[in-house]
Amino acid sequence: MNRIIPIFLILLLVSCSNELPVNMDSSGVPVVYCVLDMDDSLQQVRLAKSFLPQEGDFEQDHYTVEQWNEPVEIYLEEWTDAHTPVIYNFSRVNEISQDTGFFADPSFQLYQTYLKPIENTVYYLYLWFPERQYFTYASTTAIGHTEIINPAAIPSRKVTFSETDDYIIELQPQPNTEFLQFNFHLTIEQHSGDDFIQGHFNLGDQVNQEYNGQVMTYLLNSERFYADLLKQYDTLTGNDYRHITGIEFNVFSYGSELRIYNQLYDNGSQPWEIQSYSSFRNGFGLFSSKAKSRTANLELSDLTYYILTNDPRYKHLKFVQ
Amino acid sequence: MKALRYLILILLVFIIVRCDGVTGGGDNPPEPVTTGILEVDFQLPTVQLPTKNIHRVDLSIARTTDSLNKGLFISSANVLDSKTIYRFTLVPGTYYYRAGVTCSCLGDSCLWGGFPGGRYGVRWASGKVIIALGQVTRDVPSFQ
Repeated sequence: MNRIIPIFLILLLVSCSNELPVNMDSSGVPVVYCVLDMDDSLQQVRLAKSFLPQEGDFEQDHYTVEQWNEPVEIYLEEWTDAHTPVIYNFSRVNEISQDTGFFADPSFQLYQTYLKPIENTVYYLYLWFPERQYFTYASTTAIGHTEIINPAAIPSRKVTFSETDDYIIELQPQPNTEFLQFNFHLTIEQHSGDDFIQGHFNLGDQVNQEYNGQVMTYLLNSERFYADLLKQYDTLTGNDYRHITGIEFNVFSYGSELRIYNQLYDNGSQPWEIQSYSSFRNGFGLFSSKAKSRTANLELSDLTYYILTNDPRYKHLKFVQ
Repeated sequence: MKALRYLILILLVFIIVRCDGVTGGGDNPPEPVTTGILEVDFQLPTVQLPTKNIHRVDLSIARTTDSLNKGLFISSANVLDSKTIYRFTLVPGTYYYRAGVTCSCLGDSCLWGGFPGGRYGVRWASGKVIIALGQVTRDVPSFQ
């Protein structure tokens, strides 16, 4: 027994020797965010630097980032077979504003490459820092598009929000999809005389769930539909009225890394905050994928319109069918 | 050992007294039942078409046939292909319902399957039900 412990300790030290102690690097640690968009042929990497922390500062959820000011080579490996990967090189772009989108922060430098990711394919993202002589890298398996079973794109099947019936959403996530955001997206026109203003109303939620191959069922509370409408819209007067001109259902699916990322800090409805989590080796950040599914041309049922236009609680919103 | 027995006995008495207050519900009488249940067994019509292409699209209830035809419903279910039984809680009385199914087969298949206009045409069934106080009334839509 006494001989085993030193051997185990030596093995432990040897196996860890290729890892960089990122929190001890005084010149800053790379912070990298890349969420492959399965619906786009242009992919982005965001790179910045953070000075993390002394030991014990890990209790802090968030960290601040600074501009990256050293040379870097960024490339992506696409492993469609077990032998040779296809390589995509990223190049720096300056013309795009960096303070929008996922994990927005003006300190991030933006890099892009042209690539349409393939579902269920393994991708490796590498960042080589020649001055530091090390790689920061991560891998992910690209997700597929979640199948929307209900609401279905079937003409005549309408969407009812009533106190007596909550709405049942049925989704079939694809492998590796473990974080879903979904919503009914209503386009609403507010008419005043000859003018109108177009706005949008969203009703949805998000679910963290490990992939198990099963159909995911979610009960969307109908009362929330009316309560949120009352929150967003005020009383109309005179001949002004509101008209719902379009309803669609959107599902935004994300890889398993996003589930862990969000569960770690219980981000609630703010899943894109920059936090001290990493799916990278030798750096911080996140490498995952996302995909959007959509059912368009949905309609509200007669009963829903009846409630909206006749119920004294909502009549003042002046919706018309 | 004896002290332990006493302690267990006191604990048991304490639990029983506490639970009595929670589960007994006091002297309040149960609320009177004022509704009945309509349970619709929404079976799909028998047609010579793949079942996966036949979809439930509507199940709505009205107080009169006029209201039913005008779309003035008191309740509508969010129907699903995966769900057959739909339950509505209603005050006693007479109700009318309509159930609709559609077909998503390509070509003329839906037309030959009896769906008016072919693909995405709707076949309707309607029925009259009488809801009794505290009773479950079952009905099965009959598609012509």
